[in-house]
Amino acid sequence: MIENYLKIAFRNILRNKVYSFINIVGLSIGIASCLVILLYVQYEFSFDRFNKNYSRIYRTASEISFSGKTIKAAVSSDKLGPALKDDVPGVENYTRIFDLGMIARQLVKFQDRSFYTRGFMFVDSSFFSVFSYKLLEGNSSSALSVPYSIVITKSAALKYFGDRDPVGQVVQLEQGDTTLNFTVTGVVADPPSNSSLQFQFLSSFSTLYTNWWAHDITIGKWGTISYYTFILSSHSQSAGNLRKELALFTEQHLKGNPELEGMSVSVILQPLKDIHLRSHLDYDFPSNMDIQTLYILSVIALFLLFLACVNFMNLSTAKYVKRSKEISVRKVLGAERAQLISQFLGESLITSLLATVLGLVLVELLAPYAKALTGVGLSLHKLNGGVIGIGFVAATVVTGLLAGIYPAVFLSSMEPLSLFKRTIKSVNLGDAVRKFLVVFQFTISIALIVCAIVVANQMGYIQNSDLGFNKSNLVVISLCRPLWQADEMSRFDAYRTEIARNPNVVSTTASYGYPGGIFMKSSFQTTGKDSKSLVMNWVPVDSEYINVLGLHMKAGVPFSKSHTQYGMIINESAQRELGLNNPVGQELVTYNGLGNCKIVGVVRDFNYQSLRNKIDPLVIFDGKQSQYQFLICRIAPLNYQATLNFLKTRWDEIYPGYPFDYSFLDADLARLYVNDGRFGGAVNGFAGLAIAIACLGLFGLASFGVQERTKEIGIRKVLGASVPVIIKLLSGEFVKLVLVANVIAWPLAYYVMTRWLQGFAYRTGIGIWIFILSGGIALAVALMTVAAHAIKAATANPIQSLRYE
Amino acid sequence: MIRTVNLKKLYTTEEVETTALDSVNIDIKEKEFVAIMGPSGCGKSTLLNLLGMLDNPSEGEYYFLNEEVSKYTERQRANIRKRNIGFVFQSFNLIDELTVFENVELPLLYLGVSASERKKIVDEVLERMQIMHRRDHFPQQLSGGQQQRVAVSRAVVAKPALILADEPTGNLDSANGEEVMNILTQLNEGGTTILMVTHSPHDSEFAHRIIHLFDGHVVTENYKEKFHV
Repeated sequence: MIENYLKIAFRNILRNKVYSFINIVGLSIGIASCLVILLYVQYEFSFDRFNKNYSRIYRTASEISFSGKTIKAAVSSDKLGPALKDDVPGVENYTRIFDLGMIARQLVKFQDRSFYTRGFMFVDSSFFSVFSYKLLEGNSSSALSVPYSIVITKSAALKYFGDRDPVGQVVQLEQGDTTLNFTVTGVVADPPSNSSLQFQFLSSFSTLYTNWWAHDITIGKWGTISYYTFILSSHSQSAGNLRKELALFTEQHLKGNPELEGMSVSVILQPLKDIHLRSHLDYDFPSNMDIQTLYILSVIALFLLFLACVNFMNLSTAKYVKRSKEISVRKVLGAERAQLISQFLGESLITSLLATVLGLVLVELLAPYAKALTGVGLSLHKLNGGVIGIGFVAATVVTGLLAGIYPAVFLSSMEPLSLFKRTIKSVNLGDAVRKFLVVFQFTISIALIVCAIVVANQMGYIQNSDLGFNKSNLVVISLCRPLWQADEMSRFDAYRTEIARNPNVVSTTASYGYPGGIFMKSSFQTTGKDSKSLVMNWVPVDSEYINVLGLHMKAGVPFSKSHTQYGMIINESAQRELGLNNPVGQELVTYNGLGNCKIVGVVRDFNYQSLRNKIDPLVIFDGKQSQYQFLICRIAPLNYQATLNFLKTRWDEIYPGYPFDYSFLDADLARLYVNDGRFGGAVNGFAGLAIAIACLGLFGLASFGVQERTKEIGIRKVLGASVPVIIKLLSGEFVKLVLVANVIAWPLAYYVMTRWLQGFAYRTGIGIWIFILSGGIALAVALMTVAAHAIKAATANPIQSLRYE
Repeated sequence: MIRTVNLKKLYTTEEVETTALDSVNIDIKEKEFVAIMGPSGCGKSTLLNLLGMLDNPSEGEYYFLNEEVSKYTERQRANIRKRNIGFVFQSFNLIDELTVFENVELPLLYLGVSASERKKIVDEVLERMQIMHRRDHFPQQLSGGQQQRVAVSRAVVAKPALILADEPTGNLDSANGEEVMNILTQLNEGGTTILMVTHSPHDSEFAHRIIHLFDGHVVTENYKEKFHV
């Protein structure tokens, strides 16, 4: 029996080539996009699960309350880990991590090789027993027990040492004006991309207790909350129990502890496997993401698959007319309904089997595109055979059933037609369902087109909006050496003077920060009766800053060359929020160690952060040279590559052994919107796929529609209908469906995109033109799809149409 | 074998109610060869639908092998149908996607006969119908006469007690038509009951008895002396 079904299914596929092509290609596109998305979702869910003990590893974070405010931070005191191991039953081990890269990039040198890294961490020697990072060389229990020992990753070892044996070599970390020497005691495999911890250098945590770090006040107290603490629970301990124990621990050790200096701190327990997708604490891992995004993506994946299945459903039911004879004959010969259902399901399963094979090929072809969008190399290679096997069968069966169940039930439910007549009268059933499904497909397509246009529009708006300063042609050079020593200062001056000789270097300014970069935060207070306090961003800059960036003064004057040290220019937002009417000349009490400072001017608001945020209050200080970290150069737009080469050559002369590290300021700004750009790319892709799938289906339906109405067309033409009238007749129905889809899609897309745009403080509107354009695109594509069939039928000789009967 | 009591069939569309058959009482004995004649639209096809258990009557009783089947569900009817009735159609109604062998095999498939058994039976029938050389061809590759022989093969392959034939020669030339009628006669002589709808007076000559239908009623029944129960 099954053999018979298979035979007829294959023959049907081969006989109806266009129909099979539409079905198989459509389904394979649906399957491929679904698989790509699911691969990505699976990847995100796999974070940190490569750790053998991942289900027993927790991060102990902190909930900190002070002066009426509560924050949750991913970090805790360095004292927590050891105390938990001693006092809490069920805590088998712990490891603390201090991520130096979170503060700033670090310059690590070996002989003449020096590179910046953000992956410099201090960890306890138990790091390798808690986590499963693979130590390739060295002893996992002793490698990190002594201060100033360091384990480096395989790729870092290659970069610094080449063929040399890394173990025993000494690398240097520059910290301010001191240079620390670390002896390499081991080599660790690079952390996998789905590891929350991304490091290149793991130094011993005990280093932090040496003079270098501990002279600072940042370690050894319950109140110094700066360190990640991970604990490994014993096999028998449940998370619930552990939480109870931790509450008890908080009560006993932290409540009213004088080291907390008035803060109230409690310990939060976070399972390692939940951190990547469900943790949004302060100082959390930068790679964390929101699980909501994955849910939305999964829904879209299923939608795309369903859209493709809709084609199969529609074409199968539309083809009923053609197959009614076969179904009737089978019924007359004694086929039961269940047998017919299994026959039709068999056919859809074979179609979906072929589509899955093609889909897997497409996944591999789509991989580079998916990588550009997600930043992750998604490939089937990375899965093992078993997973691929299960996925293959699952994709085939899910698609086959999803697409096939409705046609199977529908087709088998037909009463056998009277075979006792000369010709079998065709009946067109399931028409309402088909129309509904076409409307559904186009609703999704149009909504996605609207979304794609709105996203593109907003990205364009971001790109072209006036930020309040001139962001083009600004090169930001990182100063690797601190400037608080006289010789470094003269070195810096020498470089700056040297490059200023080049006429293509228009102007330069030194500063602590730049738009799109990092700013410091501190509290400021107005003086006088109604004194008001406000936390604001602040940045020390030199006298050229306002001029080089092209900022506009609203009141007062820019800093002058003759130092008005610690004079302040505030932005309009600061003026507004501080409630100052005539700020120039007034003083603010600062809490950044600078005492009382005078406001010398007000600068017009400029967007120095992402356009997602409103412009925050900002204080620009006329700073001291020692505070500068960047040299910002405005260069001439012509020949900028030559200018860059010049900047680098002079750098290498004056700073031998230090990397010339630069960026373009507009590129740094653009980086703020990388995720939005990816989102836009994804929506474009989804919209394109949806409309492609919908049109494939429409093409098939139109072809059946024309076949079914051959006789009607013939009669109409014999009676004198013109070609345009016939085309209108055949296209009109589909046009109506697309119009209905517009009516549903517009409010849907409007709602979704309004919410998305609310994430931007500065945003474009959603003009009606976007909807009209989207609807127009869908309509035009649909018309072109249908027109081919309609024109062919309308221009055919009417006798031919009638002869078909 | 077949007995109907006041069989009635109404077709109702949204606005019109049509009586296709009314008060039809027929009695067909086993091994009979009966022809049904009448003008177009007299209800012949409707009667075949009812007698072939493809549809239920609106009123009346239908005894098939002494079993009252007029209220049976499609599933029950299908079960009786596939065991006892073979169908021959004017337009052959072969499945285009299946070969000659596969078309003939279908009824056995739905009866759950094993593959080896099926092959034996089908080959035997094809041999008997002299169409064996076309075993692996598709219907479109055959002449009308050959197609009808395949259709007859399919009708007889499960050895049904009754064959319902609807204008079996209607789409054939006289030579091929003659051949099909001879086959039906042979089958009847072999013990199969045959009920045939026809327009052709020539074909009706092969039957033992002719039932005339007009406007949904049985008007006359002519017996021939050939048949003796």
